[in-house]
Amino acid sequence: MMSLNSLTTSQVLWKQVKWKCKAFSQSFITLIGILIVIQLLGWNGSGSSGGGSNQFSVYIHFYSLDMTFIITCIWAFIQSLLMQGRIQQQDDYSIVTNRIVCNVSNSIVVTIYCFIATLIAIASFYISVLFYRLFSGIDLIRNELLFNPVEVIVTFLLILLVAASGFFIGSAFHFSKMFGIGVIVLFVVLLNLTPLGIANVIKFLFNGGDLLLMLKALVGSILIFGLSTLMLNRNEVTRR
Amino acid sequence: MAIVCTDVYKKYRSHEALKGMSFTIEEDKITGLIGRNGAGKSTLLKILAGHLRSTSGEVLLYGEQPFNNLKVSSNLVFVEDTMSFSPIFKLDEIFQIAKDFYPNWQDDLARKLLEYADISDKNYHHKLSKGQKSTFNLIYGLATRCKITLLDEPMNGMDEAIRSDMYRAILKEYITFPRTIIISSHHLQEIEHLIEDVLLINQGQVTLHAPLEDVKGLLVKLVGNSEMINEWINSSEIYYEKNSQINGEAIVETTSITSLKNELIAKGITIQPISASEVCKYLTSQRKGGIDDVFK
Amino acid sequence: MMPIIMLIISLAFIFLIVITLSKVLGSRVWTAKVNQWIVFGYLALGLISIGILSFSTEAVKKYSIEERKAMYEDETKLWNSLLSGQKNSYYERYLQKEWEIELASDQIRIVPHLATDIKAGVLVEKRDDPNSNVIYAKTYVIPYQYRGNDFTKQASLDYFKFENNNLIVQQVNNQEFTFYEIYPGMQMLDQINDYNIEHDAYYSFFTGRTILFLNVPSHVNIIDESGYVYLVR
Repeated sequence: MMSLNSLTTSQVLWKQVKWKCKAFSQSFITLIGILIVIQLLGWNGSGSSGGGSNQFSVYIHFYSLDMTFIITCIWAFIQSLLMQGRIQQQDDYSIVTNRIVCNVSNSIVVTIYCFIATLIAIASFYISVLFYRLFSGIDLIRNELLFNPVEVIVTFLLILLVAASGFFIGSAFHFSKMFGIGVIVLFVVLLNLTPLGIANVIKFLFNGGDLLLMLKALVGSILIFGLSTLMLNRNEVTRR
Repeated sequence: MAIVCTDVYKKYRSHEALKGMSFTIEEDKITGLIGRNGAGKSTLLKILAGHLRSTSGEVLLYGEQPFNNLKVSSNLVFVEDTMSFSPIFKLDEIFQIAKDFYPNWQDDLARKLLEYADISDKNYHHKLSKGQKSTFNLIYGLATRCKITLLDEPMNGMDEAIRSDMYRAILKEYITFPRTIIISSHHLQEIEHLIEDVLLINQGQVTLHAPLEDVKGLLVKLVGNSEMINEWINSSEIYYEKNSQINGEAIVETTSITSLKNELIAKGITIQPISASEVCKYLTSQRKGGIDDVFK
Repeated sequence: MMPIIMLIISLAFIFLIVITLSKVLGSRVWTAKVNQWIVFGYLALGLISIGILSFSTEAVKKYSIEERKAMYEDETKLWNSLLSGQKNSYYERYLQKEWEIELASDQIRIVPHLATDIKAGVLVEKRDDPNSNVIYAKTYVIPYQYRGNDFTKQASLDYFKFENNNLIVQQVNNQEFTFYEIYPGMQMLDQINDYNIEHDAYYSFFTGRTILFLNVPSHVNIIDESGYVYLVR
């Protein structure tokens, strides 16, 4: 009995996080690739608004994080969906694991990935603006700060929320295909048919300013991750 | 007692794989898990490894149930042919991961064995051939030096040469660092020189759990005139018979003929020993007549 | 909904292309180390971009929505204040310049230059001063801005020109201004947030007004052919 290994849960957890971060790093290449393609196509979120009054016509072109944010959200959703797939989970059973550690480490990896993805999205924004500046030679103006930390955190937490939903749906499919389809159907029904529409969800989230939004996104994400972990706790490993 | 199973049932939707299995396995023994296809070997090993949950009954590995158990998981390695690793890592990096997770990991040994098997460690796991995969999985399982090592048909797909080498490797590793090993196989004759105990299961139940020596001497073959054989032996104890005037055969339990030995020899019936794998075969067969019965 | 669906479909298509490409190029290139370096390199490039951009772009102050609302309301309030003659030091912030017109004769003509339609007005206040022929003029300008972007300086607001005893109200051509702005945030969010603010109506209003306030000796005759003059007192 003395020669038995005993690793504590947190040791195993952090080792798993470390190796899983490397294991799924391929997806960042996908994200960067897509962002570069989008920039080359010119869809990089330059909106414009214009107006006229008497003898003035004013056009404002602004470059914002919109497009990169949407793309990163979609990426995060798909990424965390795939991470909870059956095939990925089976790889865990060649090393030390149990279900809670597996799911919690996946959640932590998703969070870390979302953070890095936020940085990539923001870097993408500045790179595209720079290239636009270099190639078109137009003087750009900015409103005080070139870099807004609050926006960074808000973006990160929103992406995290989207990733958490992807994670949940991936877990639901892992649990049982019927359950996964059921969750999606329920979601669609709730959003479209009942009075609880998309507009209300958005209002709930965004009412109350930035700080409250961050808090809501953070708590929401933690809840969703926790739910997924609980759901898969008694799952068997089948059909390898 | 390293592994204790009490009345384990495993029911799938369509059929029952394990029906009331009970056995105990002592620490630091090599046990061969023998059975026909579909007898429930893989299911049993998966339950022991914590991949599946038993429908009812108790499974204890060093006093802990294995499902969803980190302590068991860190002391158990389950080698099977569908073992998979994250596809981004080379074999080299997989060894690094194993070193991180298993404190007893033998890096040197693993790399030398891999080199001996002519597999480059810059290769990827999913790109290996079937035999190479099995070799790698087995090397991986041995190098972790986990107290409980479960090998599910580990030699699948390996060629003859590497097969015997790997058996030797298992033995040498076992001698250097004793651990509880369960090897499941169809071919008892291959692993006969390796195992100490035989756990024979058939149709989800334990038919036999005994040391190899005992299994060998369990049944004997009587050759001679069938009618005369039938005279002396009660038909219910015959496991297999082939009717013929001269070369009739019957397989019976050794205990049932110990007293009748001299008489049988006097009647011209020879008593032949049979190998352990044949013993297992006959113990688990359905019909007394064997396949010839089908063709009658 | 339709444009959003089209957007998502085309995005998914691009995703597919990129993913297939990365699979085709194979795992020989994309090891974990290579991936790490690419990510670091990209982030470093982003950092360098921020550095370069911080030097090559100018920080221009935008008006906040409260300021814009105040300015919009001040257009009327300033006019009323000048109209009533009350001295309110708050509105003196809009004073752009004070100048004088030396009249040669006893009359001044205010002449429009063709058909002009400007957002300006002329307020005339008479003072008792039989000896001088000087008109004291004050130009008040409420900043011309749209969505916080101020174009008062770029706009040509030289509406009033004094020539040959005539105050000419100039024709001003249609002016176009384009602003290229870097906004390190999300417009979407701002639009959503702004719906919740009660003064969202002011979000897209123009402001900007020029008021010329003339203090004229009472014996000077004003002939207004422009229609821009309001006689106050």
